[in-house]
Amino acid sequence: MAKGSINSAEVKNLHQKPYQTGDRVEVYCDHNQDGVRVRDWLRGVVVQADRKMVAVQFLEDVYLTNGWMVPDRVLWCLQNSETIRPAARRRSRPKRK
Amino acid sequence: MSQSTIIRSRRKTQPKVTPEFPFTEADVLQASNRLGEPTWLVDRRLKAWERYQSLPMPTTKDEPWRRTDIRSLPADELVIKSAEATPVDSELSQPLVNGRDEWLLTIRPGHPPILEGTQKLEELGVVAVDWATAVREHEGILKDHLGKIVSDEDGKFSALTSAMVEYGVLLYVPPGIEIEQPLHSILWVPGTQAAYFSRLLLIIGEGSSVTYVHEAASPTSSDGASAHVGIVEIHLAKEAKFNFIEFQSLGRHIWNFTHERAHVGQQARLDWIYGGVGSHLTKNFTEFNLLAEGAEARMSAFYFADGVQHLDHDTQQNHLAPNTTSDLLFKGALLDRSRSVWQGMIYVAPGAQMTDGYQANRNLILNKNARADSIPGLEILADDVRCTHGATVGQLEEETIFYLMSRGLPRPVAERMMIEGFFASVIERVPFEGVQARFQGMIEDKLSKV
Repeated sequence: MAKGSINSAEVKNLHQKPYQTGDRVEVYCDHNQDGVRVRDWLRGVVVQADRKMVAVQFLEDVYLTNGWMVPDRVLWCLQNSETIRPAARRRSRPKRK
Repeated sequence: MSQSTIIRSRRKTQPKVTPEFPFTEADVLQASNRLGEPTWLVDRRLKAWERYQSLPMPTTKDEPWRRTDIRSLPADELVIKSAEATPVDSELSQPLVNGRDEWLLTIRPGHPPILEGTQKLEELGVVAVDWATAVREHEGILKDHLGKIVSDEDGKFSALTSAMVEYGVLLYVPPGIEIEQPLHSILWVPGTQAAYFSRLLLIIGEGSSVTYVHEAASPTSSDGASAHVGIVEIHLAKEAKFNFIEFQSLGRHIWNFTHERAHVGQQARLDWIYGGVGSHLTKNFTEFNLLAEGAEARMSAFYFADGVQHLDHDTQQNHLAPNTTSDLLFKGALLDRSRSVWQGMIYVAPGAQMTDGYQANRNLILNKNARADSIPGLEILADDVRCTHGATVGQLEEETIFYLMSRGLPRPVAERMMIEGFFASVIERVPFEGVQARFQGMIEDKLSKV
């Protein structure tokens, strides 16, 4: 079930330079959300990158579009793919005194 | 009861022979007049015209043309005329390195050439000019070199080019000059029912070092056919280094015939890179002659055809002296109903000992209707040499695609990556990033059709 959608213009605007190892990103892929399989943006970390490819590690299970689970939770994308974007920064909570 | 048999053929009927071009001696003289040529050049043209007339149009009965049928070339409908006013594709005139090109010449038949950045070259004594200027101002260089490398005797199309050509480039680099930035010329030939002729004469002096990029391009027209017929002559003197990079992205209505040859002198090094993605049909004769000891030539090429394109490359590596090295790699991918022919030959002359020659042709068939013919050949007349060759025709490997898909890449992306990887070994040999990007752009254009 596709939940989010890809806005390529938005992705391109956000990201002009190649991804590098350690970058926090979101990948548009199949995964579980509240026990339901969804196709949506999922947070992960770039664990390897070169001029062409990016490998992203996830903490949750991820699936191929034909339903198979990816055992080590690593997906690959092209550097210029529309299915990868930089992760939105989490707002830090104000410290309580 | 008798039944009549009806035979239906889906094949288009082909004319029995290729029609001749409709040109006459008057056209040859007009071309000469337009350039204001001296008598010796006029005589040369007329001799080439005689040679052209004496030769028949090539047929599939001639060995070099056995796999390339040009009977449907509408040669009799083609005329000499100016290129259409369509502006040069802006991507072509993008600088190949940061900033702007050291020297850029844009040639459009029937229009004045556009020349940028001559001052620095002039200071070095380098002659880099369009053909009309070469005839007007550099007769001496032409007298010494013109037709010495690609002879009018080479074939019907080389004789025709010599007789009719009005556009081209003369590059003369005096001895001991090193030019770091690439020189760049563009032949832009938009138009239909026209025949365009071009000639490149590139002379690199002793110990000099240059990179030269030449692009032949045009948009595709659906209104009719055109032809481009060309000659490239390259001379490398002793210890010269020359990177020659050629792009061919002519429109799909163009029949393209070229004769290209390099003479490589003692301890000189030629690095020739070629990318061909355009034209309806290409028949390209590429040859290098390693003339003296220590001469070295490397040729790396790719072609990528789709639709009904037919790309035929005929290569010849001639080792004519001892201790010479050649390395040739041709890689091609074929989509739809396209066809490629590569016919290569390494020739080692008697006495050319310690020759090291290599040739390889790798083909990727991306559709069951595409076809690649690969014919390597060796003719060795010396007894202490190393010559190897290889030819492969294959498809994308399912297992590799599966492996990429198991990482979340959709099948089309996986296929595209594999095709890009297939060409990577040629792209990596390209010396400048900007030029690499141009090659990659050509491949990506084709890949968008996968």
